[in-house]
Amino acid sequence: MEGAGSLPTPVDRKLPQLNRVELHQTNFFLGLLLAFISLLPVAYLDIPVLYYYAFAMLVVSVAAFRPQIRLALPVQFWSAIPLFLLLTFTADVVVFAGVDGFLESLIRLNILLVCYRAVAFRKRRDDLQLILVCLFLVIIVALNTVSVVFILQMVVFAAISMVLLFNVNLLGNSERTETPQEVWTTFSWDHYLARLRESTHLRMFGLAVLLFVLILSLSAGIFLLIPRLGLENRLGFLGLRNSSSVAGFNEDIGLNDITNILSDNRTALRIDPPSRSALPADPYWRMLVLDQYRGDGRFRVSEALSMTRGALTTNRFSPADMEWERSDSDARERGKWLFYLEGGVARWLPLGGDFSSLRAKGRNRFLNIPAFRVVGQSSVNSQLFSYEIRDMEFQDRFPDPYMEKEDWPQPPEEITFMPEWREVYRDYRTTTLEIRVRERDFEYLDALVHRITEGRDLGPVEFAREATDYLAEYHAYSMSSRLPPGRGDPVVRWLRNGSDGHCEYFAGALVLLSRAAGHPARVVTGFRGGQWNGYEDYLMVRYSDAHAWCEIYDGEGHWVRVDPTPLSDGDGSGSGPHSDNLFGVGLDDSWMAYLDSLRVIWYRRVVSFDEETQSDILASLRNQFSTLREGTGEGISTAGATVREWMRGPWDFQRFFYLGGSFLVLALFIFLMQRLGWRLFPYFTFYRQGVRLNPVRRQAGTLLRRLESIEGETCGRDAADLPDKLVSVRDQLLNLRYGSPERRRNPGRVFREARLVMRRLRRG
Amino acid sequence: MADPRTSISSWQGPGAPPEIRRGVSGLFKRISAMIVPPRGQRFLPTATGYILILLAVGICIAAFNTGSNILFISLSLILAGLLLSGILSWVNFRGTCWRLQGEPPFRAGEKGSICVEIFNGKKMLPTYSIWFRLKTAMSRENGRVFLEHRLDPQCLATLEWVFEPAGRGIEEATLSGAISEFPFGFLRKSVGRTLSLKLIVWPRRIAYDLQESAVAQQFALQGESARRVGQGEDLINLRNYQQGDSQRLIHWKASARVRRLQVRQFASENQSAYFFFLQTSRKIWRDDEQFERFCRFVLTFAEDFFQESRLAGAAINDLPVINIKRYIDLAYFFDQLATLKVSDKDQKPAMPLKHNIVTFEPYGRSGVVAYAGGQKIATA
Repeated sequence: MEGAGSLPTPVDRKLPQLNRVELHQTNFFLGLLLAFISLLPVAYLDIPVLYYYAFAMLVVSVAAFRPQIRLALPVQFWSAIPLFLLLTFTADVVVFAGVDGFLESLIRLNILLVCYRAVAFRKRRDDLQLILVCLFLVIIVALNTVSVVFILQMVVFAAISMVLLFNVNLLGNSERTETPQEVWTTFSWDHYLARLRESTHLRMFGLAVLLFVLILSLSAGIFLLIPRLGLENRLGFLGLRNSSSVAGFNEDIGLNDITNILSDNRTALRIDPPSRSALPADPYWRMLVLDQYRGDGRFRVSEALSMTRGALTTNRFSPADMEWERSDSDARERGKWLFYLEGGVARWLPLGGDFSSLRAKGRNRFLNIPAFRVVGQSSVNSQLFSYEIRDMEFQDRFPDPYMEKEDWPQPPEEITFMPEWREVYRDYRTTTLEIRVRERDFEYLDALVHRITEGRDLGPVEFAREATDYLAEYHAYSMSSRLPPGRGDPVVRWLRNGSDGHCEYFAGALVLLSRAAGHPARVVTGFRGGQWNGYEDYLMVRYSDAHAWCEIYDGEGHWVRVDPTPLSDGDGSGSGPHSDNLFGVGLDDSWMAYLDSLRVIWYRRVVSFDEETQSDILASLRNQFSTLREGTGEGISTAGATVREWMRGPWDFQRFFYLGGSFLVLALFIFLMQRLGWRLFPYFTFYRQGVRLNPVRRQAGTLLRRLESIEGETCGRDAADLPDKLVSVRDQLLNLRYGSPERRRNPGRVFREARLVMRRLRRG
Repeated sequence: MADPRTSISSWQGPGAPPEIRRGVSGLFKRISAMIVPPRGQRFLPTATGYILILLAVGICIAAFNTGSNILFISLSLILAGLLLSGILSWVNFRGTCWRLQGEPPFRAGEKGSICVEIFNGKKMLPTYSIWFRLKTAMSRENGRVFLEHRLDPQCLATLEWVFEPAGRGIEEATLSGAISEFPFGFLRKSVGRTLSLKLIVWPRRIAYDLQESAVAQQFALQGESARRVGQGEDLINLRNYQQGDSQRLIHWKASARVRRLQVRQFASENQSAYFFFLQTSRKIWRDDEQFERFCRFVLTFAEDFFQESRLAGAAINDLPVINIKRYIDLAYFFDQLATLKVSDKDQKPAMPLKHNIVTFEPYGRSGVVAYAGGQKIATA
């Protein structure tokens, strides 16, 4: 080569690569794939997008199988689509969704935009727009579902986006442009796939995979190191409307509300305790207390107590902030409890009992009813809500200062004449004693109380125990209880009839009996028990673990938990709810539990990752690094000492032999590396595989070698003296071995003829 | 700057041979060069890059505001993408070098091409998506050449740029570094210093009136043997080999017989041949436009005479006589013609010219006339 400086001789190599038309086609299919990936999890969103989703998926699928079909549509059609989308979006916002549902409308528009951009003929800026709208969809769906699928989706999305951007960049590196007709008129899947296969180099593919692993590692490192400033949601961010809670966990429940969700085997709550031993044998997860009986089988939170509801906007609080009376127990289990409450379960947070502090990510508006010692949120989260509780103590007695309160708030003078306001200001102490039943039903309850007490003067707890025994004696647990028809209060009717029932019947009956006996009582809803997931060591609480029980006031400032549902003491007799676990904590090692454990890994490692976890991980890394450094230092000094010791030893023949042998092996290795270098490792040669893997060339080469050896063995004549057939076969083999692939004609026939000729030559 | 006669520049770029590469050395300097680009290298975000940066800022604000790890994951992926983009861009240029190469002859008013040769010196990785910006000083033309396809390791690609020189003289073509948006189009990386190439542009051809009768008369009276192989097909003789004769004309059997190399002599060798004598004195060429016309006329006339095997040589002022036997001699003469300027002093030929001398003089206000033996033979 001329010019100053010399370069290695260039290699004349023409490896197959996609041409511009094929690159355009690849671009289109990558865009479709991107759209498909970003549309997939939209189905998980709890908003009405089904028709949009189905339409988009259908259009994307049709375009993938028959991309040429788009050529049949006129240019005006494609031009009109953006206007149509704008009108659709405006109509959606103005007529259907309204301002509150703006985000829902935006998601619907986004689905249509993704579909349009993926299917339409694209230029460079359209490709970029497609990536952006897909990314927006992925993020918004992930934010509102907090699904573990996100991480997989994001990984695939990132890979496809990068390949697409790479492709766009290749196409943009020219001043030429191709029309859609040029690109798609002659398209056929067979040809395209064949070209794709031909131009794919395994090593380049491997290299791309390596690069992608590098980018993932890099991104994991950045994720780990990005400082968390804890700005605590000071600006509003895109979030879907809050959903409603399941019926059993509302502030007003009926007799069958909880039973309706018992057949649901989904996980509603995951609890990460400090250790398994921190869990009691039979944990109760209190969510809400219902103190007022409205009659007709319905319990609710009284208006009076709703008035006492406090609110606190923070990310961390202690019971003192909620004006809770602290228990002075030492039975508190020290450590961190992490709760992951699925979206749409309830706005009241499941708690085991008293605690030192509760912390959640970001600033939240927490509600609190001090008399109940429950904590809730202002609305039901549509997505997973995680919170951390420190030093939780499982309790079965809960202090209540309000029961002894002298100065219960009275209604102002001017509104006392309004019955609804009198209801609002009803004394909490009276609501826990109130029985809104007919006279006849009340008489029946009174008679039952006499039957249970048998004329004894029982304290509240003793009465509750006797009443529980009574209920267990006359009523069995059944999920399919049928209330007998008739008039009057349904709970009293159930008591009269002696039919089977589930937890709400038992709890409701015990409350009415206790109140009839003059003891304040209330219903509590929440979960009981759970299944221990051995894969990741946490407790899974399913919807089927939903439960209702009672708390009875002991007259000494505490509410005592009483669970009248049979088998609640775990004596093992009869058939009760959750017969697998008998209300305790059972072990679940099914494959469903394994899948569930993946979600917890996602929650633990990613969703709950915060400043504290970050500093923990960094400290752990620092420790590991210093340990490694110390270990390495020690290893080096030990090795040095060993060498020194060895050097001081006697130098006999064996020692010289080993030393000399080692030097010889090292010298041989260096020599070979210098002389042969990387040729010692043929698989590292960049494009070798193309030749190595071409079976026709390889076979032709093998046959040529054999042919030469046979010629030499038989007569040593040159080609001119050989029969015409042999010359012809050799030429054809040479063409197959070294010639252009386009000039190959039926290699199989040539190989057969070559073998035939060789056989004849051997026979002479 | 490259020599205009060779029309080829030296290699430049990160993969240029070490003896001409002026890159950074030392580990620390190399690492710092990745952060602070050395002189001649520039990194600028593209429109896509700016969108990505804006997107990253938006996601960053949302992530810090909400503390959502989903947004932090998205942000970290975007940042990792940007970082990887920088690394791949660096890898793409590594081992790559390029040079400029002109493909003479260049004639004013006619399309000529300049080639950018790009070599990928990497052992394993290909080079993608590099483009070069080219411009010419005299013609004021700008253009870009693209490496549209993958350049495999140890392979050479030639990218051609066609331009049209405006006038005769020394044209300077400039390549302002290699530019690439590889791999994702976020960053535009510009590498390498400006590379220049001087090209000799011959004058444009011109239409002229040839007075055939005068020429024929001149040839008949004063013609001198061209003594070189012409186009005539009539074999008239065998003669001794002279330096410069084509080997294809050697008559081997005759040479063997007389034990001396003999070549076939065709009829065209006996045609009359002429010397062009060019005087560029200011006294003769007072008007610059007329001088330009003179140069164009000389080129056209000489070229036509050469094709008819009637050009024996040329002399410019007092410079040595150029004997024109082969095309390369003619090209050398045209190179001289391309840079010819009006001289302020009278100059005489360095050696006495032989019989047939063609001289040129102004004709009217803008024309040029050619004389042979004092007789006008052509005007332009």
